[in-house]
Amino acid sequence: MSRGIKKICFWVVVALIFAIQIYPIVWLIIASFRTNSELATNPFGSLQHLTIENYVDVIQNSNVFIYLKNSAFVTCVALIFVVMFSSMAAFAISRIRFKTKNLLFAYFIMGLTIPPFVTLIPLYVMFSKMGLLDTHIALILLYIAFNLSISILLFVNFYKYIPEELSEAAILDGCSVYGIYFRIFVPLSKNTILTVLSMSFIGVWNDYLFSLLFINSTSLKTVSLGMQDFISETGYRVWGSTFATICITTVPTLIIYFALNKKVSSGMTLGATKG
Amino acid sequence: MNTLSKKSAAFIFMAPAVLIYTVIVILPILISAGFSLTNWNGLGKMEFIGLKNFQDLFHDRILIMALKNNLIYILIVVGMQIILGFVTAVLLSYVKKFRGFIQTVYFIPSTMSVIAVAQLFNCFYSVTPLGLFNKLLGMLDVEPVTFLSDFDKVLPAVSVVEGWQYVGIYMIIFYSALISISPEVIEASNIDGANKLQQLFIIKIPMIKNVIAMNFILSGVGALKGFAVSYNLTSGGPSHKSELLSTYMYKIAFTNRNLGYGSAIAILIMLLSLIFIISINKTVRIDGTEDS
Repeated sequence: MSRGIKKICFWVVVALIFAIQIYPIVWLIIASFRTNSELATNPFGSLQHLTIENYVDVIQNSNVFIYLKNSAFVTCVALIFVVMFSSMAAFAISRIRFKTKNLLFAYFIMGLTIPPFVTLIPLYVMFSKMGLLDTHIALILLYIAFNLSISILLFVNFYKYIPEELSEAAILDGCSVYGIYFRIFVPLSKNTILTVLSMSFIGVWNDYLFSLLFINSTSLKTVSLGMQDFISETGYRVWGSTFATICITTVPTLIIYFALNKKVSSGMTLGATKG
Repeated sequence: MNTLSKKSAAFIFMAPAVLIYTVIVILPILISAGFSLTNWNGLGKMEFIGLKNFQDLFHDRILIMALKNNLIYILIVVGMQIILGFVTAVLLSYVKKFRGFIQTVYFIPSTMSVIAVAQLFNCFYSVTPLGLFNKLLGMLDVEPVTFLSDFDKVLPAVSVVEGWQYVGIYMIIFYSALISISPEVIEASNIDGANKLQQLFIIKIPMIKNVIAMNFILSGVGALKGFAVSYNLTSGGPSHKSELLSTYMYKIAFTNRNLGYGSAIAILIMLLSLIFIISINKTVRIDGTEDS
């Protein structure tokens, strides 16, 4: 096979594989601008005309802004605490000398492998007894707890790169252990904080399992639950509005993603590329 | 240096994380184990029945089907994510222009809610009106397939959704690993006359063995957590053909209110995860030591 043909084959394969990944997204965006009747009869046929009626309908008649507000609230509060608690714990594990530090680190890492289903029933019972069912507090606690493992791992990995000399010099200057944390480690961790934020944000914003189980009231629903609004009991779906809702509610994640692109990807690799 | 040995400081720094994590993640696992030995329904009294729930598991036809389904689900999801992720990463490493753009776009599905992706595929799989896949089949003169109600097709159909959504993550991880292979090694193999395919299989793959193993674990653990696609798209139907252990447990515990039996299923899921992770770990150690 000549080089030219090989090259064309290569690019055709690349384009094909790329299309598999991107076509659904492009289709989704365009579909959100099509009429419900078009979508109900010939969704993959040729485009007839574009309209913003789905968006208008969703914005005016649905609770999408309530859901966005709820998701935003729960996510922000949870993330603040995730960053705080995990960076503190990681600092102790990395720098403070105490006997059980390695054990505690392994303890947290274990959490990465635990499927959340194992905890559902007891958590439901616990929260029910504490009157926390159908509250945002329940969700926030859950999101914090289940994101600690990965966040602590990220911080510990990062803190490895902060030289001991920095803390030693600070101590000679009379710095306390708290000072070392607040004045040296925290300012240096900006990138890792962003990585932790972006990774946790995606997981929390898109959560379905916990919000499904623990939230019932419409006024408290988050974005994932809210998407089911357009599916009636009989399974009849209002596609246009569903797609418009999906687009509207994915925008925040996309903004975060595009703004912090590098941090998100580097978080994913987790130092996996050490030689 | 005593400043860094203060036990009180260690306590204060660790306490919040340890507290929340223990109460919300670890404690419930132990309680689950406890519940699994009872026949509690959440309201009445809790009776200790020993291992009866676990015995019942063995005779539960739906559970056995859910278990089989789960294994197939994991195979398809992990297979898709690792293979497609790796292939696209390799292809990407040979692409010079648009690399950043492709990476970005590939990652977008991973940022979407699982429900969003599920509903999207609901449209793709539909028969009336003709969904994407059936339209493509139509172009090949094949009869429309009811992907989501066909007994043999529903499980792969559901698995593909989750597999598709997260390919981007694995592509990015593989890609980073591939480009961090030192160029001298590639140079040397070029001089030795190796072609691209040989380079790939004889040099590159062995060099990123750790990353491949880690991705298997990540993907597998992720697939084990599969719930939303099956529950939301098909409710585990039809006739439990797309039922997963997780959806079955959810229904038993929260729809049927059988907390004892549901907990037993949960413990089973936990044990399976442990077995899975330990076996992957044994085949390729990921802590850096070689398995000769």
